[in-house]
Amino acid sequence: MSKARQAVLKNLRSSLQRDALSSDATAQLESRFTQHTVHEQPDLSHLDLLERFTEKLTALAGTIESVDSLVDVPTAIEAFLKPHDLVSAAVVDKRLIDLPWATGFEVSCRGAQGADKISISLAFAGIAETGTITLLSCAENPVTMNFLPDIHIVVLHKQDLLLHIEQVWAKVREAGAMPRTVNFITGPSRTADIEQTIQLGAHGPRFFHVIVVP
Amino acid sequence: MKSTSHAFKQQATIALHDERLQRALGKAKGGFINKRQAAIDALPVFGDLRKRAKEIKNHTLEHLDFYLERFEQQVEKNGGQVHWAEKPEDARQAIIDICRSVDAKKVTKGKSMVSEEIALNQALEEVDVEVVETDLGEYIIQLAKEPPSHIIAPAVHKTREEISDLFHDKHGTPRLEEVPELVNEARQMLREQFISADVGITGANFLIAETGSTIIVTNEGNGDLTASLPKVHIVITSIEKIVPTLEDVTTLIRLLGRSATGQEITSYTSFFTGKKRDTDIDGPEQFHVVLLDNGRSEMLGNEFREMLRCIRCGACMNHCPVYGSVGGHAYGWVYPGPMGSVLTPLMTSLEESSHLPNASTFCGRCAEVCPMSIPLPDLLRQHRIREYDQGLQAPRAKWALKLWAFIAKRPRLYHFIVSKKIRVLSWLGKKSGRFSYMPFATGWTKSRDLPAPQGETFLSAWKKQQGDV
Repeated sequence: MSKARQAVLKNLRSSLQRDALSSDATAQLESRFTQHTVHEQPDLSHLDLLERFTEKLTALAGTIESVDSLVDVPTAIEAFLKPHDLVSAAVVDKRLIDLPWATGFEVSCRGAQGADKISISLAFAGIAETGTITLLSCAENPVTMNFLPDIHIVVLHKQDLLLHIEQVWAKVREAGAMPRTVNFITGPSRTADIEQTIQLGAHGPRFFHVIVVP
Repeated sequence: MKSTSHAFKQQATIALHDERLQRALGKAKGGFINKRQAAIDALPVFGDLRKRAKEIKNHTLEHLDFYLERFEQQVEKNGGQVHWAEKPEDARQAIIDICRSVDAKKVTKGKSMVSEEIALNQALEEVDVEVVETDLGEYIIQLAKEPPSHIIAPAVHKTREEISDLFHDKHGTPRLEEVPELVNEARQMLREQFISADVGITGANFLIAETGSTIIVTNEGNGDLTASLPKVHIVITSIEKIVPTLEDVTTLIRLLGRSATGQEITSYTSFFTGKKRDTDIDGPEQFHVVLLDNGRSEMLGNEFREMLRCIRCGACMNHCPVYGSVGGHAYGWVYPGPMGSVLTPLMTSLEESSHLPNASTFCGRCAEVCPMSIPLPDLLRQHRIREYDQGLQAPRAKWALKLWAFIAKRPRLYHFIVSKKIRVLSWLGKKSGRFSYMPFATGWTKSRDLPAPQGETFLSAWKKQQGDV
């Protein structure tokens, strides 16, 4: 045990005017970790999930479209990329690699690098409350994919669209433990550090596009 | 950073006459206030969230030792390491040791006020580690060799023209004028730095005991690149940032963005838990959390405990008439505005910074807008009490207070003096009804006239009126 650790804990306990907590007391506190009590939330009960999600995401400069099935994703991406000249390669989530990608559109599964222009991820969840996409770092979707490329495209299954932020925590616990990173992403990267003027594309992606599949 | 809070009065005077600063402050003020109000108006449950947030933090503080130990266990379980630091020098040393152990030449940094509190950049540079700030605001002030003037908008004191000049000068590139061009140039300059850094250092908005996670709330994405690209991720943070569970932190996140910038949620909210997993393709191989105390454990036991609820949103300074007039640099240390005027005397010394708790009109707006319901004016008053108890006031103030107390405690003497004074003043000011000069009150009369009294005191007028009835 380090000296500093001991000193800080000792000071804390002296300020709290007690010793380290008894096992009875800690057992009671431990229950907070298992109960997962959800506190007050914004009332969104009357809203359509996808409508709310779309409204919130587009308000923050994200874009969104729906397609009829997963196999339509490559065509939708091709159309989305049309205005962005000369992009014919992407880093792709491993779970999406088997989609019918157009010949000439080069897809690879790896961590993103500085020169990569496009990444295509599969969302862990969407949050209608805030228009947010949740991504977990994993072998299929390395974390660099979410931040290095200029254009970040995310595929979201409609059944993964949740209402409130807390539902993501339930889903994470169901899936196992916390991964190295959980990223909540709402629109493209932005800054207001020069005269409070909002400017998109600070250090992360300049474009953030969501494709909803049934 | 060395404190210059003792020179607050001079610094404030300079700030008030700095035209560029006044222009920058003028532009910032309305923006923050209006955006916050709009975000809160759109969320009817805000008041309930605020009450809950206070309850969550009070509960956590009451069991702070327990939650910190639990946090440490969870970080270790996920392959990370916690370094406890009693004083700033302990935290600096821990970070220097980690950097040395991997022979680090270059460090990228996300925005962290605790790193300012421990003067980290200077310490790293002294051991020949290059430090690159990556938050745009922090990058701007690092180029300008200035400290931040606001806890969430560090370059709020800079106008666009100043930033144009700065980039032109430091980057050696043609002078750019428009915001998109300036942002893009900084993006290009920093790209290479992110990729080539050996160590990434970020702060944390919150820590979660349940999972051992550290959280950053950002808009630019620089913090995530800093945390994800280098082989080592160090989080420099302080002990009061802890909350028990993911659900608890969700409540605080709903308050933070709205109170700070009027955002329901920022572009990025990121939760880091331990080092990269074995199956992960990227992410840091080492994860370190440096937990700073620096007087906080003492605050837990004295009249300043409530200050430990602060989530660093900056709403208090955005709504403070004093901050709005003089900006952040005049305060002379890391944390400006009302929250800074409470913290600075505790983290430097009251003797050094006794002007700060006095530079307040106690108008109360800071407490009104604080999402964590911290009674900031009351805490400033506690500093004034300490200042008096420790005899730190200026001799003139001490003498004047003593004289006032002597008279005020003797009602007859008080009424005698006041009625005489009022009669004289009303006679002197009969002609115009006001004074444009008054000895001992030039601070008032320099900018506005003092109305002349109308001839008698309230008490004598009251007596007369009672007699009439």
